Amino acid sequence: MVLKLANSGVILLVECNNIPLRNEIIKTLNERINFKFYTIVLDEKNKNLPARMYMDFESKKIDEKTVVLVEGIENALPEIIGYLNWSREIFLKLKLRTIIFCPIYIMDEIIKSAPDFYRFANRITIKEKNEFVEGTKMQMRSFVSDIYYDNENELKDRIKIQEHLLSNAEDDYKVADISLNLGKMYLKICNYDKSIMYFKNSKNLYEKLNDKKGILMSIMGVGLVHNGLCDFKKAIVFLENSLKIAKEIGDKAGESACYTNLGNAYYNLGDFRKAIEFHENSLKIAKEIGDKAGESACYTNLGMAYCNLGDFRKAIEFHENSLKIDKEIGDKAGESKCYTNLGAAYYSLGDFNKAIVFLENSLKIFKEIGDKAGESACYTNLGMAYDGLGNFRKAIELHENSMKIAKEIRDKAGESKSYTNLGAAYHSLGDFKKAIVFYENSLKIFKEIGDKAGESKCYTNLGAAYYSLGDFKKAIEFPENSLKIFKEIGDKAGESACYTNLGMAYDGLGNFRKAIEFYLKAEKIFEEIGQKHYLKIVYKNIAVVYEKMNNPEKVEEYKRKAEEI
Amino acid sequence: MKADNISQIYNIFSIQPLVDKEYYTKRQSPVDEIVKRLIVGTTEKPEKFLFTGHRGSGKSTELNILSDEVKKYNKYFVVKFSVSETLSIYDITYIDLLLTIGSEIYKQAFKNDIKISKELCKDLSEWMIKRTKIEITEENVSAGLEAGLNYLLGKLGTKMRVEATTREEIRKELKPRLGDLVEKINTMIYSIEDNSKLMESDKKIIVIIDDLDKLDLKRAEELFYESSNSLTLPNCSIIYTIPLSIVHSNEYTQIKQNFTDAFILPNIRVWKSNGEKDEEERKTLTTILEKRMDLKLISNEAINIAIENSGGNLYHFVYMIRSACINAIMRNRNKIEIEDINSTINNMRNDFDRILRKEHYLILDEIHRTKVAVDGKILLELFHNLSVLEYLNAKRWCDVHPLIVPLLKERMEKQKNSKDTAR
Repeated sequence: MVLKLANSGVILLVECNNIPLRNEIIKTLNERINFKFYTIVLDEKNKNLPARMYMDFESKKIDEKTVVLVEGIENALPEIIGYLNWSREIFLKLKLRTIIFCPIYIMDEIIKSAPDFYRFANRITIKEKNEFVEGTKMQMRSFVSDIYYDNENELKDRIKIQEHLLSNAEDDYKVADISLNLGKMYLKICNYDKSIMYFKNSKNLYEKLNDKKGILMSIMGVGLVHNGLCDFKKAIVFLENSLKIAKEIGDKAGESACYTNLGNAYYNLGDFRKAIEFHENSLKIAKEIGDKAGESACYTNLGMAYCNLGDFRKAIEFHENSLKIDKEIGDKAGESKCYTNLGAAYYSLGDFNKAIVFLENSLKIFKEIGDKAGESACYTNLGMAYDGLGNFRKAIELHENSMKIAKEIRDKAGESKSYTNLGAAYHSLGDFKKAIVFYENSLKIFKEIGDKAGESKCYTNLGAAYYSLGDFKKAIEFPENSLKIFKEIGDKAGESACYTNLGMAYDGLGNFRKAIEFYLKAEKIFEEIGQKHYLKIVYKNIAVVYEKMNNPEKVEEYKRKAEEI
Repeated sequence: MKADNISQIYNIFSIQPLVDKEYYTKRQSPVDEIVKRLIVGTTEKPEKFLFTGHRGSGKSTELNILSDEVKKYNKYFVVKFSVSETLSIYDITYIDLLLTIGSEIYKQAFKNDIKISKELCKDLSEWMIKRTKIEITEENVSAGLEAGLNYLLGKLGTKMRVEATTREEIRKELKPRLGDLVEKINTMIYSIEDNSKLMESDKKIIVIIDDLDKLDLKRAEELFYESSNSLTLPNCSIIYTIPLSIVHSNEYTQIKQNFTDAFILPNIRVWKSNGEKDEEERKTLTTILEKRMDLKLISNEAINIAIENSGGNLYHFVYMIRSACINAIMRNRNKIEIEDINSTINNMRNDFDRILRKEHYLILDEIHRTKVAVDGKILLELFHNLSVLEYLNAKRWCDVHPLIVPLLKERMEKQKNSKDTAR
């Protein structure tokens, strides 16, 4: 829309980590906009973007009617930042329409070091696809405790043994120790109520026994429960308390564990820079005390954080470090997780073939060590990679494998995710009816297990599928269901995204009044939660609708509003 | 049995630690205090003690006595073992030690027909098989779960002792799973203590580990400095023997922090720190002789010279009498005379002469003059090879082993002379 509206030069900075997603955007743009597209890929030899554009303009490769897509800005660091800031006049003079794709970490760099250029550009953030596919899961590691187990049944047996012992135990030190164990075990199976009860119990007893290390572990446990409950801010409070004790008693290993867990909490809050800071602290100690396993976990966590900042090369480097150590210390499960993470990183870089190689390594190990859940997740990831290659038939086969195992180990959530993925694959194949069947299966399970977030994502997917079928009524009905849930669970961001989607849908249906009504609802929330960049999109969308309604006054008003942000 | 002719002396003066009280002589020892702490102690948590003393000072004997004393009170189920029997002594890691503690507890309980719950037994067996890759044969399975686990642990012990590669693999496998290992051990401890046989009298498990002091200095430091935290994780009382040199190392204060307390078995004092004879302590050594042999088989002068040259180290004392009796027999005598002791002393002194270097003598000279030992890497070596002995009154003090004193004098004399000639 901005591209259409602009009558002089325009620069769009599209913040998007995910390369497959970028490709999809380009495809959509191609379909919707009648412009010529010209792609410039930057690399080590080719870093000066403004000069390059000037050259191409002179040689008539591009003109005012061309949309220039710039990729590979990450290859041109650090010089590119300077080039952009000093030569923004070129962009203006040439009146070009330019789209620059850049990962989050480069966007940071631009905002910081190229402010003149940034003020001139439009920033668009693309976070998630509308259509939800259960993605390649990266494997996070934390020092919850050093509990290893192969399947949930084994852990449940261990819980039984501990609970039996607890019923006989009389000495405080025993009750404390067993409670701590039980806290850790229940945490692993996500039974947070029981877990927190046991951690609190052990904390009280350790206080009585004046056992600092025990207190430290218990508080950390409580923090981790809050982390599991997604109350990250509360988790951080407890984890910082435990960090204080670890420092006080000079427990280096404990200190390192605290940093790791704090890092993970900030990671979950989406504050990846802070997460990196903590993980680096943890890494330093792990190296110092020769804790190889801890060192490897730090590399994994750092890799994941850099992945989220879109710095995949750095992420890959860290995952490779972790892999090296896991091989060295013979941690098979860890090794397999590293392969998954490397696969995920290459997937994000759009190198699906390389991703598949790593994911297959991971699969091999999971089979070898008999980790069924891991195996199932691997099939899902492989399915996603083949999906990326456009090999939907193979993807379907893999998702079916994953589903089979999920059923076998009675992993309801996993099963449901497989249905979603199968639905998405059939959707891509153009078999919308089949896609709808799978989405509905998935929906049924999400409802059954009470996963509200999953449920609402299903509605979104169903909406998209009916839209593709041309059933616009249903296409509107489903996002409305989704909206209801977001309201229920108090997810403001989700709610406003729904309004935006509904606005767009009504716009498509030609019901402009309704479209504006929803956009205004979205506006209210975006203003409330302070998501300025989304607000800008909404204003621009409103302007487009008023243009269709022939209301130039309003068009001007919203254009101005958008400009002001 | 007491030796009443000279040929019996050799066997009766065996240099093995005593296992019962037949030849035992009461001496100044921290064992009384340890027993008191364990029995009367109103501790809320299991105790973790360190126990140390010079090599050959009689630690093992004292630990045997301790174990008997503790048993008398019926408050502990005692699991005592020597790492030199259960493990390959030269490269013990904390993983080996924790595994052995767990195994020995189970084996002792099994021997005493104390059973753990079926579920736990199954869990332990499965975990052991998975982590150590040791198979259980059909035959063992049919003997029942408990016997199967006992077999498994026995086999694990043998493998850890003789197969270096298996040892490495198991360590590698368990190192990242320390939490699991400790949980298994503690779960087993609780389960055994829950057994009616122990429960009725509220008996708790105590593990007494002997011979850890036989590790070389570097390994011992690694084990106790880097992993002392892990060694305190099993939730039962444990007494670890450690080399005396650890006590003199820089890291000792930090090591000690992790344990409830540390006890030192002092050498028997032959001299007082002011140079006077310590008659009372010398009497202990005479009593030791008296319990094992008829005193008519040895001359008083021989006794005296043996006592003085032993420096109060029991191993040296017993060894002297033992080889002196061979000397006497070879000379066709039926009584140990001063010359028999002297030739033994010469041999022992030569052994010291072989291991001591120039830089050692300088430090030995200072210690001999000041009776004080200051820190230093060389000093640790000197403690480890018994050149320097530590004694305890109210305050601790040190001296050079009496066998070395003539060597030291000779050296210092030479040095002085060479300096004089140079002048």
